[in-house]
This record gives sequence, C-alpha cells and structure tokens, in this order.
Amino acid sequence: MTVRLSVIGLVFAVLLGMLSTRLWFVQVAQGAEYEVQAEGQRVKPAPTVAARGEIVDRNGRLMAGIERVPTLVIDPTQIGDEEAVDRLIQEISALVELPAWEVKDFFESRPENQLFRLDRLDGAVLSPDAALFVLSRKGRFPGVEVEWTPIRTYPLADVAAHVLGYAAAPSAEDLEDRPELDRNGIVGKAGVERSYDELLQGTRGNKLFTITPSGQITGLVEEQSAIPGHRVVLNIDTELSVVVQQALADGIELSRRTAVSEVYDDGELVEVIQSTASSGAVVVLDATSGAVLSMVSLPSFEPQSFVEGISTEQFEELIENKAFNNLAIQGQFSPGSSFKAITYFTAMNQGIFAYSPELEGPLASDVAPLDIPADGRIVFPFRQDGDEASQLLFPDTRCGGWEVDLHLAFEESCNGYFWATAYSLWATYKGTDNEAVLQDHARQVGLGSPTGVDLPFEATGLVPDRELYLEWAEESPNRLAPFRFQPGSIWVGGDLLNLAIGQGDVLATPLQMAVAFSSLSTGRVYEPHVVRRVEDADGRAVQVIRPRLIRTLDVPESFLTSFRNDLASVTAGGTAETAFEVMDKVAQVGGKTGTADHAAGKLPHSWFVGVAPVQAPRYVVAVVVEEGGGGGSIAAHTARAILQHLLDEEVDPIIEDGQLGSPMPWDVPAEDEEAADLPEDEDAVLPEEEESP
Amino acid sequence: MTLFTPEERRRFQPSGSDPVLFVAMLLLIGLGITMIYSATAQQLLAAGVDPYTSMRKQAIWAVIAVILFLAFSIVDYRELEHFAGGIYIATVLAILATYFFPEVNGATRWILVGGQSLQPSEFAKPAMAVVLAASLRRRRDEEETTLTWKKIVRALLLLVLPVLLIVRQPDLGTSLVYFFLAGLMIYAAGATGRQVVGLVGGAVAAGWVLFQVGFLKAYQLSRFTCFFDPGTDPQGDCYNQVQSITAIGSGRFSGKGLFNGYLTQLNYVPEQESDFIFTAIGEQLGFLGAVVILAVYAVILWRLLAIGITSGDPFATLVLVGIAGGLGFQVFVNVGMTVQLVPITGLPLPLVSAGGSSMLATAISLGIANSIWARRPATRAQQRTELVSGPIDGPG
Repeated sequence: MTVRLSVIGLVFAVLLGMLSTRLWFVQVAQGAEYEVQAEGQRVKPAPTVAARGEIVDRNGRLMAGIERVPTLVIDPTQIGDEEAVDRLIQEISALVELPAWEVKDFFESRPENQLFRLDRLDGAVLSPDAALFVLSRKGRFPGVEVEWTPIRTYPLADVAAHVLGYAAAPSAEDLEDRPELDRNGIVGKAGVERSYDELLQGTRGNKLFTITPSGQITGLVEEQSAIPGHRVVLNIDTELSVVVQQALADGIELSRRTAVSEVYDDGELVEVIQSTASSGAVVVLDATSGAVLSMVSLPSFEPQSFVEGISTEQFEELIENKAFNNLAIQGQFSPGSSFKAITYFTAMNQGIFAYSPELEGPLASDVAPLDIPADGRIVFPFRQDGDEASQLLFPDTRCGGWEVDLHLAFEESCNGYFWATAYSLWATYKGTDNEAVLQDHARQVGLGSPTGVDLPFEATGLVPDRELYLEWAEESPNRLAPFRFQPGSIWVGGDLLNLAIGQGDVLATPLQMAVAFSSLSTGRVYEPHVVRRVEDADGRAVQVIRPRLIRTLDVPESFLTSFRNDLASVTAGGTAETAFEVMDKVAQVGGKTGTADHAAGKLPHSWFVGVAPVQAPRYVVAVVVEEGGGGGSIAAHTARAILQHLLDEEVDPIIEDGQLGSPMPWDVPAEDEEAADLPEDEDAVLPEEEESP
Repeated sequence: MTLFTPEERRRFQPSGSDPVLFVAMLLLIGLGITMIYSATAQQLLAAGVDPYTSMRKQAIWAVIAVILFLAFSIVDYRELEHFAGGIYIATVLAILATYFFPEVNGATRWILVGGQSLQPSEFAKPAMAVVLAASLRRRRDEEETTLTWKKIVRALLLLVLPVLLIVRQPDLGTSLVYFFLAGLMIYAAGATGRQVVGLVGGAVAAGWVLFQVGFLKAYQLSRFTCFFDPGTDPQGDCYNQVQSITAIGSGRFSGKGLFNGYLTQLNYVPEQESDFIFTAIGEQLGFLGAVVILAVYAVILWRLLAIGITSGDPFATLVLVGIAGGLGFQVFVNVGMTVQLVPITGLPLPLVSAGGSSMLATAISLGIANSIWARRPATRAQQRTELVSGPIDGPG
C-alpha cells in the first residue's frame, strides 16, 4: 500500500510539476509579451491638442494666434448599438448644420473604437450655444464630449499671407513623412507656418485611461499635458506690409490703366496690347542684416479660410489665380535692365569697359563705326527701329547719338553700352577659364541659387552659361531658344550680350534681386531671414536668428560710392525720374529700373529695385509687376511710395482712387468680437503712417 | 453499539489535530478571500455596492467551513464506513434534486437550502470517496494483494448513477473528477498491472466513442478548438482562454502586486473570482506567488497521502486517496485551464474560488483526513509514553 501511495504521490508531483513548468513559460519566458498585450488592451490613449504657437510681427503684432472653440469629441465605444449611432448622427447633424450623410461619413472613415474630433476642418462648426446644449443634455448625446480645442486664427486677413502661409489638416503624404503628426490636428502647409512647423506644433499631450472590456473609462493612468508650441517672432513689419500691399495693388492698377505694348511689323504699328497685369511681388529687405521687413505677393489669399473651411470653388479660384504662389520667392522673372547692376559690378571689378583695343571679329566690323576712346566712353550712332536685328547692334533709341559712359549708361539704362561692355568681356575671356566672369559676379550677389530664406519652396532662378547650354543641348535642345542669333548653338557671344541686359534665359526672383542690390550697395551679402526669433511660452528665446553674412564682396569703397551715386541718379534724373518727381526726399533714394521682355505679344515685366537711404543703405525694395510694362512707368511708382513710407515721408498716391492711404485693417472699426480681440500695437517701432487722402 | 474491541478502541484514541493540514487549509481560504476582494471590489464599487460584499460572503462560508472541518475531525471516520450505503443514497438523491430546482445559466447544478444555493456534486466528492472506499476496501478475511474484477465493476457501477446525473446537469468537468479519484482508489486498492491497463484503455476507448457519437455539446467542442488555437475567436468563444493566459503572463515573475492586476482589476477575465481566480493570483502575485500556492496544495496532498500511509486502516487509506485524487485533479485542471495546459472546464480552485459548496466539501474532506490522522495507530514513541502515563487525550 505504501508503494502504491508513493506512486500516487509521484503522479501528483508530476501534475504540479507540469503546472509550474507551464507557469514558468507563460509568466517568465513569455511574460513580457503578455504584459504588452495586457497593457495594450486595458488602456486607451486620448491625445490632447497642443496649442499651436503664435506668430507675431517684429513689433509684437499678432499675425497668427489661437482661439479655443468648442469641438465635439466622439467616443464610438460609448454610443451603443447601431440604432443609437444613427440617432446620434441625426442629432449631431442638426447641431453642426451638416447633412447627416456627411456626419455619417466621418463616423465611418475613422478608425474603429477610437476617439475622434469633429471640428471646423471637417466643416462642422459648433457654436458655443450648441456646445452648452450638448453639455446640458448628456443622455441625448451618448459618447459625446465637448472639448475646447485651440484653433488657428489669422487676424490680419490677407496681410503678409504668403509669408505666414497657413496650416491645415495634414494630407496623407504629410502623415507619411511625419508619422508623429496628429491626424486630427493641423500642419503648416506654406510660409512660416510650414518652415517653422516643428517649433510651432508644440507637443501633443496624452491622457492614458484604463478601460473595462466594454470600453468604459475607469481611471486615468497617466497624463502628459500638452506643451504649447513656440512663439515665432518675424522680421516682418505688418504695418509696412499693409502699405507695401496697397502700393503694389495700386501699381498693378496703374499698369492696367496706362501700360500698353505696341507691336510693329515692318516698322508699322499693327497692334496695341493693353496691360492685363494682375500679379506682382515686393520684397523689402534690411540691407544691414538681411532681415525681410516685408514680402508681399499679389494676388493674395486669406489664411483664415483654411481654418473656417474653404469651398472647392473658392479654392479652385485661388489656384487659378495662382494666389498661393509667393511670387517674391517663387516667381522667376527675366530681370531685364535691373540686371545691369551686375554687369556694372563686373565691369568695375574687372576694369573692362565698353572699349577694349583687342576688339576684333564680327563685333569690330559692326562696331567699327563707333569711336571707342580709351576711357570707355562710346558715341552710339542713332539707329532706326527695324534695323537689321543682329544680336549685337539692336537700335539703342534711348542712348542713340549720345556720348555715354558707364555711369550715364546705368542712369539711362543704355543697352548698347552694356552690350559693348559684354562684348569686351567676351573678347577678353572667351574660351578661357574666366569666360563666365559675368555669371560669377551674378552668383556672388546671390543670383542663380536659392537665397536660403527661411521659407519653403524657394525658386533657384537661373544664370545661364556655357555649361548650362551644353546640358540643355543634351537634354532639352528646344530650350536653346531658336530666336537667338545662332539658333541651337552652344553659348555664343550674343548670349553674353543678352545676359548683360538681363534678357535671354536669365531668371531671378524679386528676393534674389533685393539681395543682389543689397549686396552691391553695401558690399555685404546677407542671407535673408523672415524669422527674427523663436520664444517658448514664457517668452524665453529658444532660437535667435542672427544676421548671417554669406560673404563680403571684394570691392573698394570707391565702387560702393560710385554704385550708390549711380543708383541715385536713376531716380533723380534717369529712367525713374518721373516716378520719383513727387518725392521730397528723392535725394536720399536710388534704384534701378527694369523692363524685361519675356514673350512676344505680352507686356514686359516691370521691375524696380530701390535703395534708401542711398548713401548709407538701410532698406532695399524690389518690386516686380508681372507683365506690367515699363520699369520706370509702373514698378518705380510702387517702389517710390514704399520708400516714402520707409523714410517717414507722406506717401503720395500712385493712382488717385487707389488703395494707398486706406486705413490699416486693425484700425477698421470692429465688426465682430474676433476683430476686437486684436492686440493693441503699442510698441510699434515704425511711426504711425500719416495717410494721404 | 460496540463496534470495536477495547483493544482497538485504545489503539485508535484520537490524538490531536494535524497542524500542517489545518494551517495549509486556512492559508488557502485566507488567500481566497483576499483574491476575491481584489477581483470583485472594483466591479462592486462601479455598481454602487459595498466593495466587501463578495469577500464577506466568502468569509462567512469560511467560518462554516472551519466548523465543518472541526466537526468531521471529531467524528470518528470509521462511523462513515458503516453509513456508506445511506451516504450513497443521500448523494444520489441530492444530485437528483437539482433537477427540481430552476436552471442557472442553463445548468441545474444547484439546490436551495435556507436561501443558499448548494452544489450537491461538490459534496458528492468526499461522499463518493467514502462509498468507493467502503466498497473497495480489503476485508479482514481477504488476501492483501487481491482485487477482483468483481470489486472493480461494483465500484464503477456505484459511480455510474451519480456521474450520469452530474453529466446531464451538465457538468462534464466535475464528473471527470470522479473518474480520476475512482481510478486512483482502484489502483491504491491493489489493482494489478493488467487491470490498470484495462481500465485506462477502457476509459480512453469510452471517451473516444462518446466523442464520436457527438456526446460533447457545441460549447464543449469550442473549448477544445480554443485550447488548440485560441486565435480562432479571441473576442468570442476563446475570450476567456486568451484573457486568462494574458493576465497570468502579464504578472511575470513577481506579479503586478496585490490589487494591481492590469486585467483582473478591470474585470477583463470573466469568472475571475470563481473558476478563474487563478488568473488574479497569477497576474497580481506573479510566478512566485503562483508557485508558492501550488506548493501549499502539494503540502496538503502530501499530508493526505502521508496520513494514508500511517493510518493502518485500508478503508481510511482509500478514503484519503479518493480525497487527494479529487483535490489534486481539480487543482491541476483548474490551474491548467488558465494557462492553456488543459481545455477549459468549469471547476473551481478548491478552498480559493468564491462559492460555498466547493469550500465546504473540501473542508469536510480535510476534516475526514484530520479525523483519520487523529485516530492513526500510536507511534512507538507514543506507545512508550502511554505505557508510562496512560493514553493521551486528543482535542476530539
């Protein structure tokens, strides 16, 4: 019996041994996996939205803020059966004034059993009254909570919209690129909102609830509060921006009213094309630091429309008008005569002017009638329009018959002189390592590559040279424009001559031209910056963007003096004289016009790049009116108005009934509460503008 | 009624209580009450009820259990043998009575006594251990080594009626307990190797036949499916299987801490205070706690068998084997099902799971064992003492 009982004891020992072994496997060997599984099913995360950081201008004026609005947060696990869900959809539909099928769509498109928000981006606007209604009748809205969600507000309507950009619901690509993004949140899509998105986002908070198997919340395991995004302080001056925008709008209107293009055939006027200009851009730079004081692109848009929700029609219209393009950094235009500043720089720097004793070949034969004295002064014979159009000797109506030197040629924008200069460069350097000397000078002052401004989608512009043409010949031969003197040829002298007056394939953005003029008038090339500093919620600086000097131009002080004097003579008595006549402080400004032909049958782009005070440059203003007409007759007016404002002068109107002088948007009497919430602009550095009637 | 000779009477004087068995029982009961509180307090709170409700109920059962333990310790177990026939009839009638009480969750396992529901199939475990022991025991005139087929068949026939009634309740798990305890008792009673092989072979064959003829109900089959692959329906049929192993696994080596289970605190495991209370133990006390508790059961089983060896009474030994078999099998199946070692069946964890019947039945079983221990033949040391100072009076 004892033996048999021992055997039974052994049986029990084996059974208990099996249990212990199994427990070891489950709890020790695989315990960690089960723990993860258990943790995963017992907690439910409920992310909380971080308030997006504010964006303010250099004077502290709010450009993008946050406002807390009631939002429906729906917990699908708490609603009940399908019938209850349908009933709730009906209730919500009435509450947010959306068709029931749309609400149903939201319900069905969300991941199962996860909290989701129904907010303005979904087109669901919940009024505070409706929110109170929900809160007071909980039983009627099972699984529905009201959360005061921070949303974006853009109080300045369309002022500096392109710099600000906008934030909207993340697209599928956004979510793929940045998995940390909240699919129910917003992400910067353009402008500073985009380039500083990571700093503006803040850190999402998270509440971790424990839930019962039926999904009932029983407790809070962990709460990380949301950290508000950083505050971004811009270099932009909103008040200046309003003036700039008005001046640009008036400049465009001026073009529509006055600018025409005459089309000749065989010397006969066959057509007069009326300006249909509708777009343009202005950049105002601080020449001493690269700070972008203003950047305006027209047509513009209102970032707020992305918060309120924008209809497809509205959106398509804005797309159609290219309203989202920031022409100041994305618009690539032929710079036209404003490029002569670079040719001027090259000639002075190389000591090669329009005359060179070595001139030979086709130029020599064609230019032979010219008397080119050793001091570089050329007398151009007057030539009739419609003369044989060689690349070299286009008729130079403006300077024909005059005795011209570099200074006068700059003041009067004489193509012929700059052609001759280009030819001298060509004759000197053709085939040598230094052949691209003009292009190199252009690149030194920032053309042909992005300026590095802290905004997304900056265009690179284009500075053509032999290398580029070789590339094109291989990859896209049709780009070697057939209208050139030798169609299809690789880089020839004529191309350099074209470049010297900012025509041909050369392209630049308004910002690039602003940087170039800033560099040439100060000798220092700065990287332009829109953002001044980034602060945390307590106002401590997180990041201070200091002026970044890219390079100092290797030029003597005498060059800078000469260049500034010549800029001044353009406004005082040169191509921009008319536009600047009304300005009292005209002696303190300078600039260069540009009239850039770019396509047959269209008006040229109208350019003006101004500098003030011209003898100690502080502000650089680059203006382009797309297909606006002559630089001196259109863009120069806009620049003049802006320079008047910058020099604290009463701004003269550009057109009599123009926008210039309209009150600042924040001075318009408040129509609703939102507008009244705008902060007072107490410490504006710039003086109040005294509006002209 | 003189049942024993004076010599026998003197030899079998009760001599105290087995402290190890008693303490082990109290430990498990105390653990049970604690874990029941842990497993139910949150739910009760959520329902707006006193969180101690379930715990208090179990504590009351525990008091009754201790009283029954002591009562059966005092009762001379040998009296049981004489009433074996009556016990058998009472058992069968009690089980039969369940058919006259309303169904609970589709089963008729309970009878109502004084407002409390009791499960006769639980009390039938010690009862059948006594009945089978009385039937299988070696008579004084029998050879020590013989166990005839006749006796085996008689024992099995005795088993048939109550087991069939229990299976029909339906309660397959509990009925399996009887086969196991009967098997061990037949073996202990001296079954030959051939008989053992025959019985095991017969049991397997019978099981196979029952399976083939569709004896198992759909829900019982699904437990097998879930046992082999819980992934088939983790939110439905296999929910218990998945949740219980997850909870136990998440306890890891040292547990989440008492009252801190990830899943058991949130009531993820159904029946976590009764049949699945081991998940709460595994999750909150970890591998360490689980093994310590298994060790307490091992101590009880060891005591039962040890008492059986020293009892000097074949009837007592068989009763103890039956009790140990029922208890051991139940612990193995109950713990095993929570960690996917055996398919899920509705067996409580003795002394720990919430519920009165199982605890009282187990306490009675252990009380009988204690009674046997108290009436074991005196050890040599005791005999020596008795020669000097006369018989020692036990507590009973």
